[in-house]
Amino acid sequence: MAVSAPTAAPRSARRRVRRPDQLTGGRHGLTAEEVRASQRERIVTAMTAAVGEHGYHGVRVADVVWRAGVSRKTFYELYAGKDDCFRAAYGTWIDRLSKTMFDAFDTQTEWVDQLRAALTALLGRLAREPAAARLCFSEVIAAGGDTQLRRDQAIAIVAARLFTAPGMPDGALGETMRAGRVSELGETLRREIAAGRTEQLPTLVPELMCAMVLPFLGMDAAQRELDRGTVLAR
Amino acid sequence: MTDGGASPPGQSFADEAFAATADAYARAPGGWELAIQSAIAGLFDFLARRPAQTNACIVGDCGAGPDALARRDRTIDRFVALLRPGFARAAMPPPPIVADAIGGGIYELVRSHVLERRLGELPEAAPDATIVALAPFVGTDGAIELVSSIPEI
Repeated sequence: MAVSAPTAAPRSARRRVRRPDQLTGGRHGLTAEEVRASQRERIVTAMTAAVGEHGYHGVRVADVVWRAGVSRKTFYELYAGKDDCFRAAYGTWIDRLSKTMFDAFDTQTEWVDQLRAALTALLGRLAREPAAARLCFSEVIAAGGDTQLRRDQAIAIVAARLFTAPGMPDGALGETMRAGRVSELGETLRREIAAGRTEQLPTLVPELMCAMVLPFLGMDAAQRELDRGTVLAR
Repeated sequence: MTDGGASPPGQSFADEAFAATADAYARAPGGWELAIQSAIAGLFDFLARRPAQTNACIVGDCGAGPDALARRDRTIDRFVALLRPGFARAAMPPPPIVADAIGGGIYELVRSHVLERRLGELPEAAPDATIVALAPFVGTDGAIELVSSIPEI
């Protein structure tokens, strides 16, 4: 889902304009739960776009409220504040990105092919969703402690699902190695995104695959990944 | 080993932590692999013995501004410099991005111990962290063998 909240407008020049995804006022036949779900969806989209434009520290609740087309009262009924809303947006996007990876992973049978498919799908989606990429891999570092714990959960889930390589050590070492590889991937993405190279992320697939399979499958397998060249995600 | 109070407290502590790391790296007997093992063990021991300062420095990065994030990157970059000799020693040098990635991975390991209030257990994680750091250069089996051969671990 591409982020399609309103594009930037000078904060001082904003006025209320109903957006296509905004519910009409009055009787619309939706339950209170459906209205809340719609508002949450718009707020997450708005937070993502705002972070993509201003970064975590530059975003104000007013930016999100304006983009989402909700009142401040509604915002604070749904979220405790900016950080709470950011955490919700982060959780939403991490779930989407994880599904993207896991679905691609499951299209293959050999581990190295599964990992390559998952990585190709992830980097392709991030390149198409630069605001979400910035939120999940760059700006998340600046968020509060609760978001960091959510991030750790995400790392553990992705590590357990993707790093099932043959010869992977058991026990605590295996866990550390799996989490280490995912953390390393996240750090690489963070640096690339922070440097403004989000659109070029798919070109990193061969290098990242080489780095990730080298410890487990050896030099020949790692070299084969480099030799594959760039495969642009579609 | 602080810088005389001219820099923010977090930066001073990061400087001290890196100085302890570099000292352990330089004092290690043997080659680069043992120096990395010593550096990680030295860093983790330094941080575990200073829980209040480590908490303040790491947790301070969460929710903090661009200065704290820049400090985080500088700290990682200095550790990454210690990894670079590994490229010349590897039978098949991994892509250059591996060193940055490992540096970030080590930082994340420290951060997770802080956030989960397990900083006291950090020194116990040093052998596994060493294997993670060395594996791209010497292979997982080679890294495990090296770490297992060190009596004090």
